[in-house]
Amino acid sequence: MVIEDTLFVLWLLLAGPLWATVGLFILPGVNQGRGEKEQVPATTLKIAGLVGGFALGPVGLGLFYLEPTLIRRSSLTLGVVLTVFLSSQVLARIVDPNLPAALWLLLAGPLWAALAAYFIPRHYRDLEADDQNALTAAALGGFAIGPLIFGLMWKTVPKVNRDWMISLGALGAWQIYALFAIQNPANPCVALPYAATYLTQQTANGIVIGCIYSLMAVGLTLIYSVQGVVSFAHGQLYMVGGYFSFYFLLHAGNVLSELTGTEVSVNPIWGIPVAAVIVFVMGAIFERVFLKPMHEGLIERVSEYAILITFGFGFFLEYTTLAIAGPFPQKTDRFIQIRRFTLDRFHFNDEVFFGPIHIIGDRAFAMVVGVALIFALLYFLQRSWTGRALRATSQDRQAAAVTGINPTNMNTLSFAMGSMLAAMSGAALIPIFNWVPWVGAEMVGRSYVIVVLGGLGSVPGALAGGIIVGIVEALGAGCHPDPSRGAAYKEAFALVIFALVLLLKPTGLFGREQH
Amino acid sequence: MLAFRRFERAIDSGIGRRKLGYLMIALIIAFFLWFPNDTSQSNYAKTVFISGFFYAIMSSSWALLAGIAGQFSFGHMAFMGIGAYVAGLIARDGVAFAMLGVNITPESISSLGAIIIGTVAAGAVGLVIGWLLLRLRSAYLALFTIAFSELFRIIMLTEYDYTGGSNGLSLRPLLQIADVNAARQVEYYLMFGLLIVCLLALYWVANSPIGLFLRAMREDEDAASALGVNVVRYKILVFVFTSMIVGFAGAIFYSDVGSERIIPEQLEILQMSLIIAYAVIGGMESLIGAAAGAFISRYLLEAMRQVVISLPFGLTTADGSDAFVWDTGYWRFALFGVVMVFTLRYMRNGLLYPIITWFSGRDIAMKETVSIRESDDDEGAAPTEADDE
Repeated sequence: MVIEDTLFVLWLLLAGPLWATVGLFILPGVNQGRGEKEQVPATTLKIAGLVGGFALGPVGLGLFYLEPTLIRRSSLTLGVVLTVFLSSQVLARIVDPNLPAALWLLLAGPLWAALAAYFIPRHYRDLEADDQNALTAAALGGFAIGPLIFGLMWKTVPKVNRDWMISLGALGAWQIYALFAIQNPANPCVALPYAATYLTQQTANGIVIGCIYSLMAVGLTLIYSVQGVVSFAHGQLYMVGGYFSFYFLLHAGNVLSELTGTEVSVNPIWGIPVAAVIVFVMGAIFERVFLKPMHEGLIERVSEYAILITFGFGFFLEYTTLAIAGPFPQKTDRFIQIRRFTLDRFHFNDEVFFGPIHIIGDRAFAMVVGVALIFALLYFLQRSWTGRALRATSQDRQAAAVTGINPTNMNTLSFAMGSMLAAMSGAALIPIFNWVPWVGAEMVGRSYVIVVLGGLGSVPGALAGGIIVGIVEALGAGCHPDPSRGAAYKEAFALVIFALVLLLKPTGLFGREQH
Repeated sequence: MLAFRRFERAIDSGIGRRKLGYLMIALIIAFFLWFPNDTSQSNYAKTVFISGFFYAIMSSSWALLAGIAGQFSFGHMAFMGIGAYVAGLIARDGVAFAMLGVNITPESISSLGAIIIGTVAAGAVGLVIGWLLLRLRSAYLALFTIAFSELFRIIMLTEYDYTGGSNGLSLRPLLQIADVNAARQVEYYLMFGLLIVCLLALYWVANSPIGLFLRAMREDEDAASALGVNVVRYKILVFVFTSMIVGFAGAIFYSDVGSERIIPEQLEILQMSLIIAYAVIGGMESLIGAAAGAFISRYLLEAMRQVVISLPFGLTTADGSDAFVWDTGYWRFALFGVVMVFTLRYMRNGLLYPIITWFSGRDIAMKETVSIRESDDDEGAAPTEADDE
C-alpha cells in the first residue's frame, strides 16, 4: 500500500478525516443561542459536520455553521456524493492489485447488502407499504449498486416485482464476474477468444445434468406437496434404483448369453423401468406400513415422526446395500454404443456436437430420459383423473375426500411415485457415474437445495431449480482456479444458493406462502 | 406375571421405586468406576467403553435438541468435527492467529486452550446456522444441516494441505503418560467424568425453566409464542449449547483420549445416522435413556462383529466344524436400522422406556392428545389455505 502524490496529502490536511472529526464536535454548537423553533436536530448537525468536514474541510464547516438552513437533505446528498467521489480518489491513489475488489467491497457488495436488507424492509413496514419481495430486492440491490439502493427505495417506496430482482441480480452477478476477470485473467472462463465457447459449453453441461437433478427433486416435491413430508430416504432410494438397474442388467445379460450362446449385453435403458417398478412397490409398502398410521392420527408429533421414520428407512437401505453390494464402485455399460457417425454439421461418435458445444452422448441421453419423464409426469398430473386427484389432495385434503377421492390411496401413490422418480434418475445415471452405496448422500443434499430453491411442493419450481443448480455447479466447478478443488467443491456452490435462498426468500422461487 | 406383581408390591411398600432407581444408578456408576481396575479386561474393552461414553454424550445431547426441543439437526457430527478440527489446527500451525495479526505462536497454546477455542468455534458456527434457520419450520433445519455436514466433510477432505485430507488430523495430546495401561485407565476415567458432567449439564438445562419453554415450544410453537416465550431465542440458545457440548466432547475425544486423529470419514451422514439411531432406540425424550441406548448399542455392535453359533448334538456344518461362524460386516448395521424403524413405529419412547418409567413411578413421556389437536388444526388451517390459493 503506497500513497502516491502530494496532492493527496494536501487533501488529507485540508479536508478528509481530520476535518470530519472537527466538524463532528464543532457543528452541534450551532444550536447555542437560538430559539426553540430555530433549533436544528443534533443528529443532523453531527452528520452534517462529519460529511461537510470530510468533503470540503473548513470551507464546508464554515458554510454550515454560518448558514444552518443549508443543512437540508439536498445539501447532505451533495455532501454524500462528494464524499464518495473523494474517497474514491483516495482509493485510486493507493497502488494495490486488490484495489478493484476492495473498492467494490467498500462501495457495494455484502456490506451494503446487509445494511439494505436490515433497514429497507423495516422502513417498508413502518410506512405500511407492501413489503413482499422488499427484502430480496434490498439485499440484491445493496449488493449490486451499494448505497444507491437507498435512494431508489427509501423515498418513493416502490412496489417490487420480479423484474427488479432479475435486473439487480444480473448486475451483481456481472460485477462478480468482472472482479473475477480482473483478479485472474488467465482463467479459461475469462481469457477472451475462448471464454464464450467455454462458458456456453459449461452452461450446456449444467443444463444437461440439471435435468436429471430435477427428475429426482420432482419426486421429493411430489411427496411433500401431497403429504407434507420431506422424505429423508430419497437419496437412498436413488442409490437403490441404480443398484437394481445394475443387478438386473448383470443377470439379464448372463441369462441371455447362456440362452443364445453368444456374448449379449442389455442396454441400460431397460434397467430404468425395472428399477422403477421395484422401487414403486417398495415405496408403496413402506408408506402403507409406516406412514399411513401417521395420517390416521395414531402417532404423536407427526412432523418429527415423519423425519425420523424416513431417515431410518434410508439408514436401513444404505447399510443393506453396503452389506449386499459392498463398498466397491460399480458401473453399467453405456447407453449409446455408436462408434463414429459423422454428418456435415453434427457429429455423432461418443460425443454429440452442436457447433462448438459438445455433450457426452450418455449424458445427453440421460437428459432426454429425464425431460421426457418430467413431461410425462406433468401430463399425468394435469390430464389424468388420478393426477388431478393427487393435485386436489395436495390442495385440500378434506375437500378432496368429500368429492370421493380416497386420500389414503393418494398418499400411498404420491410416496410410491416420488420414490419411483428417484430410482429412475438413479437408473439413468448409473451408466455415467461410479456407483457406491453412499452416492445418495451427496445427491440428496443437492435435491434439497433444488426443492427449497424452487419452492417446496412446486413441480415447475423443481424443474427450474434443478437447471439453475446444474448451471451454477458447472460454472463454479469450471471456473474455479484450481480444477481439482473446483470439482470437489461442486456441492459448496449449491449450498451457497441454499443459504441465500433461506436468507432472502425462504418460500423459494415458485413456492406457496408459508403459514 | 403374578410373581412380578408381588415383587412390585414388595418394592412399593419397602424402599420405593425411586430409591431403588437411585440405588441402581449408584450401582451402575460404581461398576463403571471399578471396571478399569479389573485386570482380566484387555485394553480393547476399555477402548470400546471409552468410545461408548463418547457416543453417549453425542446422542444424549442430540436427544436434548431433538427430543426435548424438537429441533432436528443432522449436523451434530459436523459440529463435533468443527470442535476437533479447530482445536487441532489452532495448536498446529496457528494460521488463524497470523491472520488476526496476534503474536501468538502455536506452541504457546496448551492443549486445553486449543480445546476451548474449538468449543467456542463450534458454538459460533452453531449461532450463525441457528440464526439463519431456526426462524423457519423444522424441516428446513434438517435439510440444511444435511447439506452443511456433507459440505464440511468435503472441505476437510479437499484442503489436505491444512487438514491432512483422508489421513486425518492429529490433535495435540491432552495427556502425556508413557505407560500404555496407565494411560488407558486415565483416559477411561476422563471420558467417564466428561459423560457425567455433560449429562448433569444437559439435565440442568432440561429441568430449568428453559427446558419447560423448550417443551412448550415443541408441543405448540404458536401457543408458546403467544404466552410470551421468545421462541427463536430459546431455539438458538439450545442449538448453540448442544453444539458447544459436542464440540467440546469431540475436541477432547480426538486429543489422543479416545482416538489419535480425526478423519473426515467420521463426519459422514452414516455416522450421524448412527447417533440418531442410538438416541431413538434408547429413547429420545429421556437424556439418560439416549445415553444408555448409545452405550449399549455401541457395545452390542462391537460384540456382534462375529457371531458364532455352536451346534448342539454333535452336528457339524458342511465344512466339518461344530459351529456356524458369521462375520456380520454391514449386516449388523442393517439389522440396527430395522430395530430403529420398528422402535419408532411401535415404541416411540425407546426400548428403555418401560424400565425408566417403572423406576420413576410416573409416565415420563409428554403426551399430547392427538384427536383434539387434529380437529384444531383443520379448523385453523382451512381458511388460511383458501386465502393463499
